[in-house]
Amino acid sequence: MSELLDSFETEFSKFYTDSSLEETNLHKCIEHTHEFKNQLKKLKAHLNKHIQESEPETYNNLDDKEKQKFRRKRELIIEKLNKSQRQWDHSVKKQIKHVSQQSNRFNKTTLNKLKEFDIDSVYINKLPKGTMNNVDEAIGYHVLRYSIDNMPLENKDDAFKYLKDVYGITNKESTEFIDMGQIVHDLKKGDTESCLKWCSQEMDSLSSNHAALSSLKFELYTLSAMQSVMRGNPVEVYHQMTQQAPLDCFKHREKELIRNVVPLLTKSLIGQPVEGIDSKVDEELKKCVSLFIKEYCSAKHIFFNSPLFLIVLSGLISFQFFIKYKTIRELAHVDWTTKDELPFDVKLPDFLTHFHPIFICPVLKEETTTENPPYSLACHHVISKKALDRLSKNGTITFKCPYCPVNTSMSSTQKVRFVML
Amino acid sequence: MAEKSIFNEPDVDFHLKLNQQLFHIPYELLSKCVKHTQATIYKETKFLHEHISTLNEIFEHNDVEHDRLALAKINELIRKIDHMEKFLNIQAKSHCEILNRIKKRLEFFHELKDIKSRNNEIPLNENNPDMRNKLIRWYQSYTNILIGDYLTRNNPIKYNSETNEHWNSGVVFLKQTQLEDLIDYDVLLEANKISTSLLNDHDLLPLISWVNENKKTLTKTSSMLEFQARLQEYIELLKAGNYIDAIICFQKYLLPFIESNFTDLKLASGLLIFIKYCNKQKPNSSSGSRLDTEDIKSKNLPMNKDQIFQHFFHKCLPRDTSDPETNTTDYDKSSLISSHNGDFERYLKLLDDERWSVLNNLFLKDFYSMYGISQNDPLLIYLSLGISSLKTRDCLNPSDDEERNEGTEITATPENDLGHLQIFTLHSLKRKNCPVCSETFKPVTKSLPFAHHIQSQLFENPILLPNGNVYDSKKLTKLAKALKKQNLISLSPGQIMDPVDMKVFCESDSIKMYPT
Repeated sequence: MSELLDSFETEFSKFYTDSSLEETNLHKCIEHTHEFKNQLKKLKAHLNKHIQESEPETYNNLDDKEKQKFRRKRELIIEKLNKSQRQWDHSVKKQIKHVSQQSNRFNKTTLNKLKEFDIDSVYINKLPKGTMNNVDEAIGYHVLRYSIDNMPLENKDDAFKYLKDVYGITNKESTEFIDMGQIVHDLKKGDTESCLKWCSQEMDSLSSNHAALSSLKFELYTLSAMQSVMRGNPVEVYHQMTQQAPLDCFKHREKELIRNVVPLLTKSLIGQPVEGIDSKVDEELKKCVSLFIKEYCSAKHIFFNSPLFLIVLSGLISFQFFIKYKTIRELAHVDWTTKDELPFDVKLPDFLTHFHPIFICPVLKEETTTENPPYSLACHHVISKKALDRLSKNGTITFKCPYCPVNTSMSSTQKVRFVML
Repeated sequence: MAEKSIFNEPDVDFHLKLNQQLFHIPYELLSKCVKHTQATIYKETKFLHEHISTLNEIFEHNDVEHDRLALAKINELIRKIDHMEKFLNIQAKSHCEILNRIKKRLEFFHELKDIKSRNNEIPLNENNPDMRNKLIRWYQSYTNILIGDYLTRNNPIKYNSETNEHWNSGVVFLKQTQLEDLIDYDVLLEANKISTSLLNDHDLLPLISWVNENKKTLTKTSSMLEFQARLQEYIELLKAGNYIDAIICFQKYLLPFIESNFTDLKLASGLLIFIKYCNKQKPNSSSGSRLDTEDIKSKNLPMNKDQIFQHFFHKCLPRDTSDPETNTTDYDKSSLISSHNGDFERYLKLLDDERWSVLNNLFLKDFYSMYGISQNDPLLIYLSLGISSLKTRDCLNPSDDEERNEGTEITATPENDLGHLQIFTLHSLKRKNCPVCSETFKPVTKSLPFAHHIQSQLFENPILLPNGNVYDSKKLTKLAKALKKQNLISLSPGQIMDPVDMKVFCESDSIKMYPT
């Protein structure tokens, strides 16, 4: 729903007097003040002239009609002075009133609607006081992971110092990210050399993911070929594809090669311009950067998604549940029941929850724990230890599985553990 | 164009409500700016009106001399108006700057609306990586705003002597991530500055000038901040031995609170005597030195009633020899030195540095509620909620490490093939990426509640290995394949490896499970 946003935007546009949202009524105030000033200057000039002309030698030479006209002129000046002051007075007061009313209306009609709840009210489980260092550390990681390429990295020692001074990140934490940031910098400059070198080094390690690395390599070669095409140098492209890129990179990738690379090469060789090559190169660059970061994180065994980000995102999603629960609790006067478990279910997307398996015992409807682990029955249905104890009367009898007709004796049960791969 | 929830995230309007402070702060600033402009305009127009009246009077004389006078008056008028124009220009500029903040924020949330509604046009939204990535990126910016807020509130304002500038890492970060328009860091920095001067420098001046600027609002909310600040000023003067100024401060700033804070005032006046007593006991009381609680405590001054009474009245404390109930004549005397009066600990409490942090908390509370800012750092609130909704019973499970050789996880080095194998298999486990279990968050998450689940969340094709571990069968085969391909281990066809205890089993030994 975005009705609130819509009405918000409409109400906000009323602050302005033009549709491009630049001029406000205060600008009108200024305009009118400026006009008034000019008017005053004019009147001053008139009056000055009038005074000069009032000198007896000039004035006495006038005939009666002219004298009358002359006096009339003076009256006009006075009249105009009073009138323009009144106008200005009226106008600025009107404009500022308008500005003030709009600001009040904005508060009443829009801001008040936002005040549905107070975010402090759901902060019931406070983070332990002594763990603020951990929060700082998590922020440090987040900054390193997502913003390292916004930092000055030319010189490694300077980069260390910068990260330490600004974010309090220790050298130990930042080392790997500075290397990563430097390679990303190079890539953005159009230099794939350092990234390729890193790939080759990683390939030598047994525990690295060879398949992923080789596909990164392929994308890097594609990128440099595209960059050469962009520079419009077919010879360079040819040289790159035949001499520099090792052939094994292209093995099993014929399809991608034909679809993405070959048309570009052909066009380049026959000297035809390639449409939108800039944006294609840009896209490929982004692809390379994100692939590289992914592989880099997995090779170094560092979190690809910063834990802080995942937790904040979960927090944001769960906010609506916390607020809803709070409202219900206030209405029904019930209290938070269990201390060590949230009183409601928060539905989070799979990519936030796939880290651990969750097994709810079908008999007790309770989540299994280390104290109450899951047990497999003879029929390979699974129930919790407590349920098993209850059904088997502490292992003294055989019992029927709650799901199927198979009988289970204690000896045929086995403690199991679910593991997410 | 309805919007769609991809991650079960709330709708745009909920986001707005969640972030009301992003709009409330600029509104407060706007309102201040408008009120100031309005007041000045009224003042000036009134003045001008009078000015014109005088002018008209002058004109009534209708002679050249008076006209000359009028000319000078008009000149004055022009100068005034010119001044006014400049003032209005400045006000309009700041007015626009504040409106611009609201504009930028509305645009930011509009972006979310666009992402969410565009997603709806495409039927395959679940599998649309583009939309998903856009949403993720938007939430990364959102997280960065929270981080910027946290750093601006909590990190110290530092001084760079080279550029002669003050800086704060929160502001640096916001500028680096181009989010500086989305948060009122200037307001947060003001609070930070006053807070730092209280806590680190024990300097009351910034706080007192802020109190004076916002007296109206503070009185409206019947805040005790001013009293507490002045009381602290008085205490500090006493600590420094500056009795004259302390008494002036007491009379000028504390006495007006006699109705609301009578007990505090009584305590404050008692403190004057107490501190003089402590100073007299100093062996060589150099006037420049300051007193503090530690000082007083370390001096082991006689703190019992008898001795103090002796000190002040040069005689012994009257003894209650008889039963207090029958002895009514001595009643007045004993009440004079009731046990409460003899509690000198409470003076020590007044002198304690702890009071600075109490004062600071009081200030932050008033400051934040004035701007409609949340009292707790929003980042911490999100973390608390997020951790609890993520934390499973399987999290922080120490048994994992015990199963493997002790400490291999941390020290596993790719020295040999076994090391490589260990690293590779360990990182194929999903729980290695759980944010709640990460080393950084472990201590934070420990004491927070678990998430509540009503449904099992397992995996496809569960199979049970003879060692009791249950895996997704397809993923286990895939892992075996990858291990073989990387030449980490030689497995015969049909063999699989348990990545937890690294035992090799035959696929045929596994049993299909039926968990519900």
